[in-house]
Amino acid sequence: MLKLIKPISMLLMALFISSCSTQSVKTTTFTPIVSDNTSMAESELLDIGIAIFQPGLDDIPRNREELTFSDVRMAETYFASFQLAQALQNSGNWGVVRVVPGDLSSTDVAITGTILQSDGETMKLQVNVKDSTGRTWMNKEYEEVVSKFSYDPRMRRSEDAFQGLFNRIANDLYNYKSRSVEQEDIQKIRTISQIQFARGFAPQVFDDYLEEGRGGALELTRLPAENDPILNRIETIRERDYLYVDALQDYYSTFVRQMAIPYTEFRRMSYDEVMTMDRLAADARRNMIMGVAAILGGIAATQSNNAAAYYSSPVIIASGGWLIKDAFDSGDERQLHIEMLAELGNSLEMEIAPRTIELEERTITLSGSVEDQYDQWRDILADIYANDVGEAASSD
Amino acid sequence: MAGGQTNGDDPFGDLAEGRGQVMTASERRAALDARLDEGFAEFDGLILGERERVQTEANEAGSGVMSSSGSGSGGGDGEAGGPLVVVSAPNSSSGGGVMPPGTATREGDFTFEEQESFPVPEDIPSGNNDDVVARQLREAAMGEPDAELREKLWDEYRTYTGLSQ
Repeated sequence: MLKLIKPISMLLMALFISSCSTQSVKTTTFTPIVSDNTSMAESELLDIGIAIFQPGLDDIPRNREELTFSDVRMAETYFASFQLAQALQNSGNWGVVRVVPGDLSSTDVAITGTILQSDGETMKLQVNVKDSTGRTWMNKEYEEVVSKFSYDPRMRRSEDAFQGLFNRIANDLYNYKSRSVEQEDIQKIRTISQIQFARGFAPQVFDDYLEEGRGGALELTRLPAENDPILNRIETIRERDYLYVDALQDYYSTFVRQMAIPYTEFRRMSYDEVMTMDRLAADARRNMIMGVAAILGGIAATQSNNAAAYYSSPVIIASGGWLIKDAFDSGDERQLHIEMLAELGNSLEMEIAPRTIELEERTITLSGSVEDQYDQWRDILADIYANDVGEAASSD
Repeated sequence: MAGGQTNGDDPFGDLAEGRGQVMTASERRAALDARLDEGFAEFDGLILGERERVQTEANEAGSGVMSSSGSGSGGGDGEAGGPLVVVSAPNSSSGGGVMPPGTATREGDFTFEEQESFPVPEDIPSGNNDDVVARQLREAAMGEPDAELREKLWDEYRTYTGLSQ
C-alpha cells in the first residue's frame, strides 16, 4: 500500500506544479498592418474574396461549449470576415477585398476560414488561402489573447480588440505574395479568375480554356482574343457582379456596425467571466489534487514508524478533506459564473439573432434576384453564341 | 424570357416578331445585345435601389452603431453614426458603373462620358465630388431612356446630393 501511495502522491504533486505553470502573455498592443508603399499598377494587384467564415460550432471543445452561444457565433462569422476584409483593404496591398457569401472560384485570391474559439479573451481562427489556380498559399491557425484593458473604456480605440489577429493574417498574406508570387503568376491568376467567371456564363465558349494539371491546379490551355466580343460582354456582366457584391458589402458593413456596441460589451463582460471561471477551475483542480495528495499522505503516515508523522496523520487527512471540499465549492461558484455568462449570452442573442436573420434573408432575396438576372444573361449569351456559330457555318 | 423564347423551330424567332421578315445574323446579334442592355439597366436599378435603401437605413440607424474597423484609408467605417462607406480600394471597380466593351481592366477609370447617352440637366453640376451612390444615380439617370424615369432619377440625385434643398 505504502509503495503505491508514494508514487501516486508524487504524480499528483507534479500535476499540481504543472497546473500552476501555465502562463498567458497578454497585451493591449497589437501587430500593425504592413503596407507596401511602392505604387503598384492595377495589373499587379490581386482581388481578394473572403467567404463568410464557418462558425465552427462542431469543433468547440466540451469544456468551452457552455461559453459559446450559437447565435452570437453566427453573427461573429460576419464580424470576423468583415474585420479581416477591412485589415486587408486598409493595407493597400491588394485590389478589391470583398466578403462574399458563395462561390469564390472567380476570385483571384480566395480566403476561407473557421472560428475555432471566441470568448472575449481568446480568438482562434483557422484560415485557408488559395488563388484561382488552386494553389494553396497558406492553411494556418491563428490565435490572439487580449488583455482585459483592451475593453477598458479609457483605452477604447477605433480598432477591434482582436485587430492584431486580423493584421497578422493580412501581413502573412502579403509576405507570401512578396516571397512566392511572381509577376507572371499574378497575370496567370487574374486571367484564370476571369476565365472562371466567363465559364460560368458561357461554358460552351470557355470550358476548354482551362484544364486541371497535376495536383489539381488549373492551367490555361489558351488565351482569349484581345477583343473577344463574348468576353467583352461577360466583362460588362462582371462589372455588374462587382456592383452586386458591393451591395452585399453594404449589408455586411451595416450589420457589423450595428452589432459592434452590444457585441463589444458582451465580449468585455464575457472576458471577466471567462477569466473568473478559468481561475476557479484552476483553483478547484489544484485543491482537488492537493486534497487527494494530503489524504494519501495522511494514510501513508499512519503506516509510519515515526511517531510525529503517525500522530499528525489525522490532521493531514482532515486538511486534505477541506481542500477537496473547497474544490467542490469552487465548482459551485464556477457554475454561478457560467449561469451569469449564459444570461449575458442569451441577452445578446436576443438582440443580435433577429438582425442576423434579417441579414441572411436580405442576402438570399438579393442573390435570388441577381441569379434570375444572371440566368437570363446566360440564355442571351448562349443565343448570341449560337447565332455567331450559325453565321460562321453559313459563311463557310 | 430572353433566350428561352422560341418561335417554332427558330430559336431566334421571337426576335423577329412583328417584323414580318427573317432577320440577318447581325440583326439578331444587335437584338440580343439590346436585350442584354435592357437587363443591365434593370439590374442597375435593382442594385442602385437596394444600396440606396441600405444607405438610408444605415444613416438613420447611425446613432445605434459604432466604428469597428481598423484605422487607415480605403473603406474604414468612420466615426460613430457617420455615413456608410462602401468597402473599396481606390482602384476598385466599386460603383464604377459600366465598363465600356473592349476593355479588360478593373480600374474603374472609365468616365461618365463614355456611356452618356442622354444630356445632363442644366442645374446638375459636374460629378467631380460625387460619392459612390451619387455617381451611380448620375450614371443611371444618364443612361435611362425613359424620360419620366430619367427625371425621377435626377430628382433622386438632387435630393441625395442636397441640390434640391
